Amino acid sequence: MRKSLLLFVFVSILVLVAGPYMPYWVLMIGVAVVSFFIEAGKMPTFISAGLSFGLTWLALTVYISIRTNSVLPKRMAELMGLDNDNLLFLGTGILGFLIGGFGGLVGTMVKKLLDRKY
Amino acid sequence: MRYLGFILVFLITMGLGISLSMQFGTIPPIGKLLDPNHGFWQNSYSEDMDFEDELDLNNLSKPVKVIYDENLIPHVFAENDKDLYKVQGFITAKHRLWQMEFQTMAAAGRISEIVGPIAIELDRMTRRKGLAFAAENSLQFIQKEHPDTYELLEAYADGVNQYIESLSAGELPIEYKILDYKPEMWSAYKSLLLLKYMADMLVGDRDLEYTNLRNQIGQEMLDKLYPDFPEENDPVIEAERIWDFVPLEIKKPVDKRYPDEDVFVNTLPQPVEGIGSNNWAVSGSKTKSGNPILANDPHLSLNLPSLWYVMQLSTPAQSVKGATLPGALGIISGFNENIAWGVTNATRDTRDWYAIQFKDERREEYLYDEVWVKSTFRVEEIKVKGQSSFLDTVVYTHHGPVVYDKNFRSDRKDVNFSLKWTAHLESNEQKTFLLLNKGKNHGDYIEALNHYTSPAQNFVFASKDGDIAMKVQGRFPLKWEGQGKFLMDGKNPDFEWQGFIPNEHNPSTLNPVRGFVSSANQHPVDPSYPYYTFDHSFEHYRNRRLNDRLKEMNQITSKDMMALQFDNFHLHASEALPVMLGLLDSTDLTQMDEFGTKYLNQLKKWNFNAFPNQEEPTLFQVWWENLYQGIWSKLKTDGIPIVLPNKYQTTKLLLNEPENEIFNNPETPERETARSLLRSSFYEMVEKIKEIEKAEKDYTWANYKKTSILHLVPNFRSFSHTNVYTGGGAGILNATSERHGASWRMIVEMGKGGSAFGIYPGGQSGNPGSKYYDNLIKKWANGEYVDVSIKSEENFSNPLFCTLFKN
Repeated sequence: MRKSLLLFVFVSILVLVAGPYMPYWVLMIGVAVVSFFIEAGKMPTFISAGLSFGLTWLALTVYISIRTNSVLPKRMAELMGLDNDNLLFLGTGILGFLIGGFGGLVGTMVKKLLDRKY
Repeated sequence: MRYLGFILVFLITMGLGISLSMQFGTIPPIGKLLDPNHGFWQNSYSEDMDFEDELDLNNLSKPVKVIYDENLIPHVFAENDKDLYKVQGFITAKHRLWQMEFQTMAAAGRISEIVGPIAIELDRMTRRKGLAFAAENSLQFIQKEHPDTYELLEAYADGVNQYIESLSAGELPIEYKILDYKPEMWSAYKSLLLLKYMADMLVGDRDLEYTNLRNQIGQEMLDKLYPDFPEENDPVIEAERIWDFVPLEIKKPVDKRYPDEDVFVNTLPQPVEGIGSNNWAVSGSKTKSGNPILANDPHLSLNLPSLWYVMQLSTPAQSVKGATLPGALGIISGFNENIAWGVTNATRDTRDWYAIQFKDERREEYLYDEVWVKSTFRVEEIKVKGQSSFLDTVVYTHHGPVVYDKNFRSDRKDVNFSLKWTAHLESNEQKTFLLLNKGKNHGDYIEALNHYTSPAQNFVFASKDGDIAMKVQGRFPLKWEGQGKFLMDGKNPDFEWQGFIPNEHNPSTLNPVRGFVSSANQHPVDPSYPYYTFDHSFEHYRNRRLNDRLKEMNQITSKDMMALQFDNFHLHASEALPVMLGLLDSTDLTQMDEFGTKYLNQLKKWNFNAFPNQEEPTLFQVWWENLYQGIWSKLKTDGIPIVLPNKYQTTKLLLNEPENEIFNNPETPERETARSLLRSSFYEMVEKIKEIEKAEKDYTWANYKKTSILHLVPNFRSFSHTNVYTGGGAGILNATSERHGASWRMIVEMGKGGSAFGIYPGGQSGNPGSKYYDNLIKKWANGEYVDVSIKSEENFSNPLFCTLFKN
């Protein structure tokens, strides 16, 4: 549990600090590296890294939206054939969850494979 | 087993990472797009939330200050021209990069690179018309003959490129993110392409359609239905003008024979009717303040991001302000402390077609003046997104590119039509605008116009000195009467243009007695003008309404001029409807139901205005369209393009000869007359309006015409504004129809402390996430303006923000 929490905090910091400077797939590798060292177990890593990544992305979109008060999410939702722009926020969060979750999962699995060898 | 699990998870993860960054068909790369740090979310910031107090810009000689007003209009204060245009390039790119690049891609026939095979046909057409060829010609000419212009074009390109290089992934305009491509470097060539894009937008011809018509109805009927001059000619240059020059001689070939076969090609799309513009200037003798007032409103396709971008460009030498075209240097329609100018399209047939006879299928030689002449080939490689390139070989004769042939828009092997067009000539239109920006008086204005070739424009002028002027400027071919109205014989030298009308002979006027100058795309001159000035699309209504109003107006203020730009009087209806109602009344109307009676009474009481809440304009429009189709659709045959008589001649025919045999359709057993067609079209109108009334409960003009301002990518509906509530229509001074209208309205009062007002349907920002993307639309639709008077760096009240550019 402690490790999951730690992972959550680290992934979140990673996304917030490194996010603006690198594309999401580099972050994915970053999450794998963090998970590699924290070793929280497969399921806990998937959930924790996923939730952290996803919630941070969701928080960012909400922050941008409140700060700018822009109609863009609405316009983009309509362009992508969605009835409700809330789905775009949700979609970004879910996407973040998948990116973070799988990134983390790969990290712990690599660690487990290496551990077994020694 | 563990390995298997790992490999599975690893593959899923890789797959996720990769697939989210790829484009599938028309679905954009979803991961890149939704990433809050780089995707579309980052385009939510309006410019005033995300600006720099200072920016580094290489190769500046002195610092340049840019101050934005509350509408995000930049005011650039530079020490010299090079710095000025460099910063213009940077700022324009900052707000309009995607648009300026997209428009030049369109002009170069490169849209397939962005959207895929769907645009191949469009790109082929653009390339066959030779727009890129034309821009290359102009570039070479400017490099060689006008190094001063070239230096400034390069400075502008440098500004644009420094912006592109500074762009972060998050700042990339949203259209690049959705369509998944990246901006390429800007160049002087691209600025020239943009000017060719304008030429293409504004110039058309109907030579092939006329060729078919002449074969179909004969020369005599053609002359009757399509006269060179209308009964009520109210030309750009006042009819009283005496031509004070000796015209060049034009040799008319004695027994010219036009090729007279029918032309079976799918002709090119033409500039839509309704593209046009108004401009005028009134002298101090007619204004309240005693200063001249100038007005301009170019009518173009209504698009977002808007075609225009407003700027003030200042150096210690002068301050100039007005509408720029993103991609071109300087101000296009605007004013400085000394002069103001504006443009309307001076339509004239400057595109001609020549039928070419090749020696054989290889098309390496063609017959001209009884000898075989070598042709040249230009292989156009059209890159296509997601596919291999499409290669199109275009054959060039000395006339120009062979647009229509067995490979393009024709099924027949022997079709080879070469296009000759003034836009292909070497020219430096950019210089005209650079000089106008610095102009101080009428002499400077005339000198600036001498560099202008295409697309021909009516340049209106007013100065602080009190002068008003108008000049029809372009490079116009010297033609014998009737030349180039039809497809010409490419092997006969008699059909060649015999040179060009000298600039000094182009129609112009300075301070005419009537106290105003004006243009609205009508005939340039009275028949006394010694050169042939044919075009298919001259305006017959806005010009007369405009001149009638200007004649009777006195003590004019800027407010009056605004009202005139927004004038909704439907002159065509006021002339046609009484005739239509008169003829209809004399027919048997016993079958009319209550709806028909209601509509008829509405029309009888109509004040001929086209305000958005009125219903009569809809009734008239639908009735007119049905009547027009009823009269002329019989001329149409599948596969043979023709052009139908305009509404002015149709109205004249109804008025003067309602019994003429032309109203009869020989293919029906009964004999049609104007009366019977009026009655049947009236009933058709009643049925249609009834349907609209039932379905939408509303047949007001605004709801019927549905004025829409669409994003340049038509699929991006949610970036567009549809059903804008506004009046006007085609042929009305407020020429706002469904997709076209005043793309920029400007009023300038000259004199000390002169003032200026402007508005356009859009906003300064090209970013659909910005509040400045469309903030001017509502004001535009209501006929309101924003103050665009020249501002000084020292007394700038309420700046939105400032940026200092330093080396």
